[in-house]
Amino acid sequence: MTYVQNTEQDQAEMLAAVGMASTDDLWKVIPDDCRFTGDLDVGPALDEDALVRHMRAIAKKNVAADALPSFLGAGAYRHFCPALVDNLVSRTEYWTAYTPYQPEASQGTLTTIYEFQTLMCRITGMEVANASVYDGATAVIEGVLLALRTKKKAKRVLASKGLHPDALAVLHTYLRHLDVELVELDLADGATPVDAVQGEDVAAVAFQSPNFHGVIEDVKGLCDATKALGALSVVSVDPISLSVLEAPGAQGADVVVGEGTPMGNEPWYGGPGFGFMCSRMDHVRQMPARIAGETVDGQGRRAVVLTFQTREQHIRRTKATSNICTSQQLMALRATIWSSLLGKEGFVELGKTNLSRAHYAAQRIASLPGWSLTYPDRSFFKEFSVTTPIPAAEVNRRLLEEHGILGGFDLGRVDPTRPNEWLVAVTDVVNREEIDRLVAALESLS
Amino acid sequence: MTTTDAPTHANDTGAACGATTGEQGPLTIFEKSSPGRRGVRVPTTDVPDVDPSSVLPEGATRTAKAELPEVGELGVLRHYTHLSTLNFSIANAFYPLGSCTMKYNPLVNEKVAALPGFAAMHPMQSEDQAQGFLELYWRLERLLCEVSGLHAASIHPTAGAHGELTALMVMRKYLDDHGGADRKVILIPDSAHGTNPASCTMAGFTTRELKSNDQGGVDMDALDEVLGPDVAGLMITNPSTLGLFEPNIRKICEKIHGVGGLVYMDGANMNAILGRTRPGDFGVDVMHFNLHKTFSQPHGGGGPGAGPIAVSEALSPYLPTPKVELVEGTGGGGAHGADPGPDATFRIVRCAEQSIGTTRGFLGNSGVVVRAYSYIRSLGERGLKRVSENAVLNANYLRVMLRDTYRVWFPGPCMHEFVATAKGMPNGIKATDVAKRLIDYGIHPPTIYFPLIVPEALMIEPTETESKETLDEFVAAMKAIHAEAESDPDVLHTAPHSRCIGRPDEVRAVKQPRVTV
Repeated sequence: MTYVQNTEQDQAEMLAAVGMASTDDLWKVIPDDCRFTGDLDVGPALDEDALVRHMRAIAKKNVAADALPSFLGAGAYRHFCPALVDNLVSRTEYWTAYTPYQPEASQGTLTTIYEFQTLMCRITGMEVANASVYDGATAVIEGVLLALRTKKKAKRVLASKGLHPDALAVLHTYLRHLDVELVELDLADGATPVDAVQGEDVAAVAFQSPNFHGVIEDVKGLCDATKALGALSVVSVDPISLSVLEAPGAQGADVVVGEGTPMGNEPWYGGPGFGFMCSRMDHVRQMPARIAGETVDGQGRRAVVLTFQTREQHIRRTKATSNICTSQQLMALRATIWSSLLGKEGFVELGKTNLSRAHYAAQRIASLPGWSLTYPDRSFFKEFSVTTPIPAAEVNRRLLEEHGILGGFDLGRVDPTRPNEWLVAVTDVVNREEIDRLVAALESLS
Repeated sequence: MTTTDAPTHANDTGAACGATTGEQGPLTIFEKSSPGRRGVRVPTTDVPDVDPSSVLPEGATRTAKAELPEVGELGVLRHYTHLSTLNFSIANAFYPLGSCTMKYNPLVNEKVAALPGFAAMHPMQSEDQAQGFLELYWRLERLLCEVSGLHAASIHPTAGAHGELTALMVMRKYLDDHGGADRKVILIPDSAHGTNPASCTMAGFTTRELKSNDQGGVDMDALDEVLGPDVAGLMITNPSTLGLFEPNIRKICEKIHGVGGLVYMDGANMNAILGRTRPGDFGVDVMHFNLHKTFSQPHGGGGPGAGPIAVSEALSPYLPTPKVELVEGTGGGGAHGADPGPDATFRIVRCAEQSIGTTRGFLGNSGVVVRAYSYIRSLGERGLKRVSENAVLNANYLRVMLRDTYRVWFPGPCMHEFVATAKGMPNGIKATDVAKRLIDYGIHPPTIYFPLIVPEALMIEPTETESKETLDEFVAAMKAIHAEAESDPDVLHTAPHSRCIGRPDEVRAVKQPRVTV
């Protein structure tokens, strides 16, 4: 297959125009000792039919999760997504455009970024959002880096062990290069103790709520304790949970970040999703990535542009706030359209459906002999940890093989000391009948 | 379009101010909101209702609903359909945005990416449930190694700049383990992308700028002057942002290696050299790819992309985790280098002693992996070479056709792109005026004011998928604009005239910031 349109005749005319005898002359600019003259070992070209068959054969080696009731979350969640989202983002004007460098030719994308920033601020209770970052895990480190730039002299970061393991791993990887000490805060009964937030020279305190174990943290208490240290709080949240949970902005958070995938996107085997990042206007010049802002044109008409660009790498180079030069725009657009379709009331209804179904499931599972909630005294939103009578890995294997159910996350995979802890996510795409099937299946296992 | 056909009004790229745009410029969805109006019905509770305040800690229940817009489903459809028409895109306009490689994005790649076996996979599914994806990662890594001439690859990084950062961390760790902990300096040519120096800072390096010579290449004397025991490596874009292949690249790599440094190649411009030269063969130790440029992942209005890195054998133990590995003793008998054979099985390595660790959540941007792999397989060996051949031919054709009207900064043969200048245009016309006027001609402007070393730069990259007719239309438009600069400069100073807005006041956006509706 080829996507090149030039015919041999076109090529001949163009070569004549540039004064070359053949296409071989195009490569004279590459020194002979650098030329590759062999054949690339990449396999034969596939026509469209053969290509689709080939890709289908590879796809069949995966166990697609859409046909199965799924209780798997652990940082990646499926939620209801209206058909119109797929339809609208498939407009080529959105998906084949690039970064809106020319505002007059990009008011569509720019307006949607401006809308996205607005809705993320309204959901989190913050004042400014950027156009998105890579994902939820990198959003946490970007929040911490913002704090380090703001608190220039502080060289210590506190991070709760309730953060997603990937977010924690990314913090370690990045901070190792910046002469910053990373202190992990142990959980007590599944939550970050407020009195663990202490120490000197602290730039940032990062935590997640609901945390990786599904436990809702004392957001206000942790933010207050952070403030008392003179540090900035970086709070990672599930945006769906903010339908029923208090906005972190109202609880004193300085930076609010998270994985945006639950809003109108699918887990897609880890990506592309998007991370979001919100803060207060005081910090706008320390925000990484793109920010859209409203202005006017020469005739006073509203126009949206990329703004505060002096923060960015193409101008500031080594002194830029970040090396990020793009966003996850198409995914953020999905979230924008999704939010518009749900609306003010629908968003809250969806949240209540998650809360109610998860609590129904938790209650049913915990009533089974031998099964219990790991943190019965803690609150949760849509995901909770269950202590299992047999190893969670075994639970999952038998659920899939014997009952066609995709089980929760086996916490033994990230912490070998917890083989019998099982993280169960119950979202709005799992209904009562499927929850009842799960409970019946668990009953037959033990 | 002909040269005499200067446009003044809206064209078919959808520029007209529609009923929902109004005289005030585009409206947002928040201004379409009416209290009580509902869009879609969400899944409602089929279990006993739980009152949030009965199960949440005190003070944790939301007190005020988030003010999301209240719009009907049809209203949402119309709003976002209309906004889409305010965009230029590959589907409706030539998009010669230099260094961004805005080529055709084949629809078949969207079709295969939507297969349930790919689209409906959860990243925390066990490895035995995700063998297809692990195989796909492995296959694409092998293909990237083949086109780069390098040993191993990782598709973990999410974007080009993320690939840069990841690769610099790999270099750091390798140097630390090989007695080079004191090496802190990365040399960067003055024509480099801004992400290069920014990534260096984030990876804990300092940078030293390397002057270009009058041919646009690395000044070899200047290189000798900055080489020393503190040099960790060189970060070079090749072909450069000037569209030039570095003629001394082999010698440069030898010099860097000679002082114990490593050579990093920014592969943003890989489209020009597919199948013609391989970075690993001329001495590069590590590079990144932009799957959204070279391998046709749609740009999405600014993402998603992916920035895989490929490295030499010596650096391969330092690649990030998680990474995909062929299970020892399986596989073999494949038809080509990226075919693992019928019995291959794969696993994910989550922790490796020498690895730099994790730089993002989960394995990678898997949806991008599907599209890039599909793209390469659709082209095959001959097709990949036709990509570079026509990318370079199209660029050279434009360079020659335009050079009598616009000065080409480095006039010799180019690769996939070239940099012209608006310097010296009549009546004080600047690059930005040319760019804005091109919009009226229904063409997306080139990259302007970059690279920084060329004044009033117009950086033009046509890509291989454009036809000669389209290139000729672009040449005609550029010549018409040059004529207008002489005869009617005001029309350029005030361009564009065909969109729903004119030039926005960017200073006001900073001085009176308004970042939410």
